[in-house]
Amino acid sequence: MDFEEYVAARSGALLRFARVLTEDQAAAEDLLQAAFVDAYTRWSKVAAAERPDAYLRRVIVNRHLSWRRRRSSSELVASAEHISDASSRVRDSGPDIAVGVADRDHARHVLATLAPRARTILVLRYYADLADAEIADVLGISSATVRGTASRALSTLRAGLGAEPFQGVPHD
Amino acid sequence: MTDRAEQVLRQVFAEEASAAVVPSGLVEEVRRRVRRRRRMQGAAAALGVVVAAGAFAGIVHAQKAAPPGSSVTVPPLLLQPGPAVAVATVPQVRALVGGARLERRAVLGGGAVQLAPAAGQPVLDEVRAVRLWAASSPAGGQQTVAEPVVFLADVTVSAPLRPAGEQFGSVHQPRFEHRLAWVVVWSHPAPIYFCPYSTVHPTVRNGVVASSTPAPDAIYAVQMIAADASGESVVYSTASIACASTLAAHADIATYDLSLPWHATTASGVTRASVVVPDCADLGAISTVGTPASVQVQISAQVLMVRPPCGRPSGDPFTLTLPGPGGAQPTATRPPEHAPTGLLLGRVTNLTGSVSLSYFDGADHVLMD
Repeated sequence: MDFEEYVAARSGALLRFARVLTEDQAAAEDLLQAAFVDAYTRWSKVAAAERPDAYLRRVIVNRHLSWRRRRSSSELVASAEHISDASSRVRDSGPDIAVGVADRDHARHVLATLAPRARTILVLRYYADLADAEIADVLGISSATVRGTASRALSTLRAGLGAEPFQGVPHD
Repeated sequence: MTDRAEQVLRQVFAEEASAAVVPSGLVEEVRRRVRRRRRMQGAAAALGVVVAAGAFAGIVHAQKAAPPGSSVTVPPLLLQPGPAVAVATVPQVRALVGGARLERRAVLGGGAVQLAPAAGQPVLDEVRAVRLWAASSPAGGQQTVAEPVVFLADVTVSAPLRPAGEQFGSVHQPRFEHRLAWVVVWSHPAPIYFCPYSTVHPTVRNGVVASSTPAPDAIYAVQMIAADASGESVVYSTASIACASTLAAHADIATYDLSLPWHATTASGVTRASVVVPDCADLGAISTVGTPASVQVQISAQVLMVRPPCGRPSGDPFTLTLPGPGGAQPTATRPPEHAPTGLLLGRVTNLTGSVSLSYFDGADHVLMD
C-alpha cells in the first residue's frame, strides 16, 4: 500500500482515535497531520511493519502527551460549560435517560480531572482496545503501571456512578 | 466481564469519536507539510541547527556576566554608532554584540525594531531578564529556540502592537522609544512544528497571511524587556510558518508564566484548591498529576508584561475542585518557588518533535518521548 492509499484508507479511524484522545477536532487534525508527515518521511519502514496503525497511534499518543503538559484556561472554561450543559440535559430528561446521561457526564468529569497519561491509558484500553502490554509498549511504561493507573481511574469513576446526577462544577 | 464503569467509558469514547469529521483535502495538506518539512530540513542542515547545546551556551554566557542576585556592571564602551546594519538572521545579530552589549546600530524587521548601543546601567539585572524571557509563553505555550543572544541596547519599536486579550483588563500599551532594554533574539529551528496546540487555527487567530514563505534562517523573534523596574516588554516576530499557514510579521506585548501559590480546603467532602490571579494576568496552565489518593497541583498565570494596574476587578479567587476521594485532607505539595516559570528551552533531535526536554521552575526537569 502506498502512502496516499494508506492516508485515504485510515485517516478516518486515526482521526477518530485522535479526537477521543484530545476531545478536540482541531487538535485531532493537527496531531494526525503531524503523524502522517512523520510517517511519510519513513514510509518504507512504516509500510513494511506488520501494523502501520500501531506506529501512527504511537506518534499521535506521544505528541498528545507532550502538548498536554500545558493546558489553557479556555479549555477549563469549556469544561465547566460542558458540565453545566450536561446538568441541564439531566434536568430535562426522564429518570432512566437521566441516569445514563449523568453517568456519562460523571465519566467526562472524571476524565477531565485525570492526568493526561491516565486518560490516555483509558482511551487505549477502552477505545483502541489494546491489551495492557500493548499500552505499556506504546507509553514506554510497565504493564503494572498501566493496570494500576487504570484501576485507580476506574475506582474514581465507579464511585460516582448511579448516585445523584453530578452537581459540582470545577470552579466557583 | 465488563463492568458498568467500563461500559460508560466505552460509550463516552464512542460519542467523542462519532463527532470527528475527516477534513477534505487531508492528503493534500499532508503533502504540503511534507514539502515544507523537506525545505526546512535542507535549510536546517545547512545552518547546523542543533538546538539545546547552542541555547544553553547562550544562557550560560549570560549568567557568567551576571551571577544571580547581582546587578550588571559593564564598563563604558567605546560606542560605534556608524551606519545601521540591516539584520536578517540571528548570527548577524550575534556578530554585533560584545560584553553583553550591542556595539553597532542595527535594524531588524525592515525597521520594525531599531537598536543602538547604550551606555546606561540597567535596574533589571540580566539574570532576571533572561529568566523572564525563558518563562515567556507564546500562543500555545511551547516553543523551541535556538541561538539565543542576550544583550543590552537602546531600543525603539515602531511596529504596532497587536491588542492584548480582554482578559487582562485595560492595558497601558508599553512604548519603546530609545529605551534601555534587555534584548533577546532567537530563532525557531523547526518552524513547521511551531504549531500551537490550539483549537483556533493560527490563520484565523492572527488574521493576516503572508503572501510568501519566509526563508527558514530569516525566521526569528526579538523580545525587548525594559531594563527599568516597569516590567514592560514586547516581542516582535518575523513572518513565520505555523502549522499549515504562513504568518505575517507581528509585534505583541510579551507575557510570561508565573506559578501561583494555592490554598487547599476541604468542605462537604470535596477538596478544592484556590488561587488569586494577580492583576494584568490571566489564569494559565493547571496541572493535576497523581492518583485519586495523592495529587500534585501546579497552577500558573500568564502575566502580561505591562505596567500595572490593568483595571481588572480583583474578583473572587479561582477555585479548582481536586480529584480524589471526598474528605481527603490536602497535602501541602506546592511548587518550589512562585516565580517566573514555564518551558525554558526545548530540544529537537530529529525535527519530528518526538523528543523534547523542558524545564519547569528551573528544578523540575521532564524528558518526554
